[in-house]
Amino acid sequence: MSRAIETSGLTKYYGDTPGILDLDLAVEVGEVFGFIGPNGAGKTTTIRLLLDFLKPSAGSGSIFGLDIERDSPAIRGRVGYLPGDLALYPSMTGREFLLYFSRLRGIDTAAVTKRLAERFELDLDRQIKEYSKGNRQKVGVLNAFMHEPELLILDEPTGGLDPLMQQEFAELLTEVRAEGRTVFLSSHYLPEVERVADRVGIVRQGRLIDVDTLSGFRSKVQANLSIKFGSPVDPARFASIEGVTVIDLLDGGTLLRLSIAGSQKPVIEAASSLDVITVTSEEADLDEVFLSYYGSDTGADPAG
Amino acid sequence: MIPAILGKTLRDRRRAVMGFGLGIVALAVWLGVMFTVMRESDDFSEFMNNLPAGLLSAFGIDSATFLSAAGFLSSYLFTLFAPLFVLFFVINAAANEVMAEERDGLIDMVLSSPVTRTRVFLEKTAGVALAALALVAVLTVSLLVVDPIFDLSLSVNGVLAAGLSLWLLGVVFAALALVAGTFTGRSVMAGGVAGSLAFLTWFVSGFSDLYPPLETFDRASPFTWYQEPDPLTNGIGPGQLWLAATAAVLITVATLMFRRRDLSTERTLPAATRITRLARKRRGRSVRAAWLLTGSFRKTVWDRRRSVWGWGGGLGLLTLVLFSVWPTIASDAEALSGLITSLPREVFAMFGMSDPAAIVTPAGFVSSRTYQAIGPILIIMFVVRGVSMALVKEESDGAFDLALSVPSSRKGVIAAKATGVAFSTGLVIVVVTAAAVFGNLAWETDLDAGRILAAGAGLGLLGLFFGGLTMVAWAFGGPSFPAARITAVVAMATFLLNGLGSLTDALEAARVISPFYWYFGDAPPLAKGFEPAYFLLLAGALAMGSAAVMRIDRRDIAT
Repeated sequence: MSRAIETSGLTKYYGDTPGILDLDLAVEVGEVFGFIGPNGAGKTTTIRLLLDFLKPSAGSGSIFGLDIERDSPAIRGRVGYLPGDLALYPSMTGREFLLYFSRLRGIDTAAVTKRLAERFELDLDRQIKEYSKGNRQKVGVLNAFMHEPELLILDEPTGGLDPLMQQEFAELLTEVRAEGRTVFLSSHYLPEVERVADRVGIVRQGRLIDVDTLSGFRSKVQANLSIKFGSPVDPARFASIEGVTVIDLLDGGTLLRLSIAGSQKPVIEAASSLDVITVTSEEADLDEVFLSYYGSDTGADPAG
Repeated sequence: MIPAILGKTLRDRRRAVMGFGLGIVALAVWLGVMFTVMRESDDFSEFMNNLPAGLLSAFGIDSATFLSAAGFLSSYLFTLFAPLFVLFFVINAAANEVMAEERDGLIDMVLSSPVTRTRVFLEKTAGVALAALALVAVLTVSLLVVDPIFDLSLSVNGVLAAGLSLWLLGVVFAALALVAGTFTGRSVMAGGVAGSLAFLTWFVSGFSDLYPPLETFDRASPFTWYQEPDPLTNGIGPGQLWLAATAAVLITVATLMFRRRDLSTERTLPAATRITRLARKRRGRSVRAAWLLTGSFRKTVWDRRRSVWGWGGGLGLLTLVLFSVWPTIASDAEALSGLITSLPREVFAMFGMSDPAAIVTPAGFVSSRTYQAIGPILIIMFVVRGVSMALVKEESDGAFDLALSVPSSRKGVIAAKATGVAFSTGLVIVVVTAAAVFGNLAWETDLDAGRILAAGAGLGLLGLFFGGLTMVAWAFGGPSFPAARITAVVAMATFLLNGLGSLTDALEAARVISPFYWYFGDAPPLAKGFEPAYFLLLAGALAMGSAAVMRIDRRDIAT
């Protein structure tokens, strides 16, 4: 069976500005795939390539085995899309807007639309220009979900939604996954992804840096250890252990904070010969993992 | 069932069709009345036969057929007003329906559904073409209705042929806008390129009789094909075939381009990249922009910069041409003044000239076009558009919330924006005045330079007056109130009031309330100096502007 999304060497330059470079991506059917990276990393460029809004400079891609360029209309029949920079027709009502797009799809979506509108508490009979930002976003969500597509491509989907609605949205994604459908979720905001994603790809400056499950990313992270001593200690003693970095030494040299990659055993052994009072381990913080991936290099930003 | 995109395109255009349609019907009735008045003047027909054809064509008149209703309508309606209406409508529709949707990111939404780009593009194009057809149908039907009432004895075939030709002309320019738009991906370019080409080719076609160097290009102008072989009299011919073929080719090119293009990359590219790219392209620009973007006033002027060049350039060019053809006309001045006395005054009054004899002077001749007919139309459109973009549209787009979130008073921000529009209007006037001063020297028309300045000032003030009116309508009516449309209606009504007021005693008194009366009075602007009545325009503009600022300061800003 074909993958939901597969790209090979997909590349897009805007003139000589790189948008996304040599992207090899594989999203399996039935998973929720988070695509995260800072602003301007190339997330939106990737999505717009997948939907044939942009023509690749090099490489190719397929969705459900269909070529993203040649078979685009067929692909779009099976995909629901929520753009990150949502634009709607201001003078239409929500209902007219959704009716227009369901007619473009050639299907009747009235039942699903009604159900989703009730679920997200959206009044469809007002003009879009009267909607708040959150309500406009809901129209976008309904438009992406109303035809019950096999693949959802969502670009920063929860922008403008209040926490309750974000929760509702996360539940919707869980249901979608339970039905065996696929979600490609792009975001620069970790919690949006963390809540629902099975696997995450990190993109930065136009390149896909790493793909792993969330627990995989957690295990890669370094653990932090705080050791409280009864009397001041010499940090050099710990710094010399392999894989250990001294973060700081506080409270007159009695509180030592370390970051450890790999086994904690040599550190515990070294500490036990000293006047230890407490040892505290800080849980690996996913934010820090991703921040470390985002990196400090903020040179020329490729296009988003 | 009508396909969804086509249906939406038509629905979006229905108001414009009705608005333009209403204007075009009014025009047809009006011209019917004018023709009846003219036909009853005997001297006139006798005179027409003795006039040199080249001379008359400067006024859009074909001497051989002018005396028939068909000839008269060909001259006034079908060579001047109807194409102006239809092209304005169709270029705007094409630029908005396809290109603006790309600019606003809406095309992403449309194309996320399983439709091919070709289908989207062709449905939209068809929608624009059908809307234009509806507009042309309104004109055609109203002509057929007016025909028996005024006893014009038009041929039904002729009216249909002229309508068809007009529609094809519209489709050609819609297609040009689409080509320019799909090539650049920008709606501004779509409208700008098609509009400029329309003006240029109209000009070539209209003035080639008078200006031999233009003759070479005459055959390449869609306007020449459009009037070939004068469809209103002779039915359709090869010209219409040319138009249809050109439209088909252009639409095919645009479709192919649209299929292959990256869509709305301007939105995908982050701002920083765009600026670097621009800076690379035109070194120093970012610095100048930084200087210009330091306040509401400067930003407004900066936003209007292209319009200033476009509108000022167009009007300036027209002025130069008028000066350049004057010597030809002057050589036949005697014949011309004979014509003028033979024509009923109503004909001139409807073009804003209450003293027809003045037209045989250079001041009157240039004024008749630059300062009394086309100039006021353009300058009023420029100002009203400026107010709409800088104020009305910013409010309805929600950009006002940001503009007003800075620590300056609301009055200050609004006043600065209005002043920005006024200043850019001044720049347009400077361009036109410079053209007039140059034309005056180059063709030795011996006009008084002071009066040229005064005429320009009056023109600018006339524009600002209507800009003030738009502001007041907007301030009191809110952002969804049709302020610009109401201004247009008032402008048309007061223009007619001035013209007709000079003829009928009943309207004579009412005439004094027309801003056009304050500006034109009974003499061409170039023939008089700075009139006290100009202060009335200025005072009106200032009063309305201030009232608007006061009102805005107190009302809710729309979100």
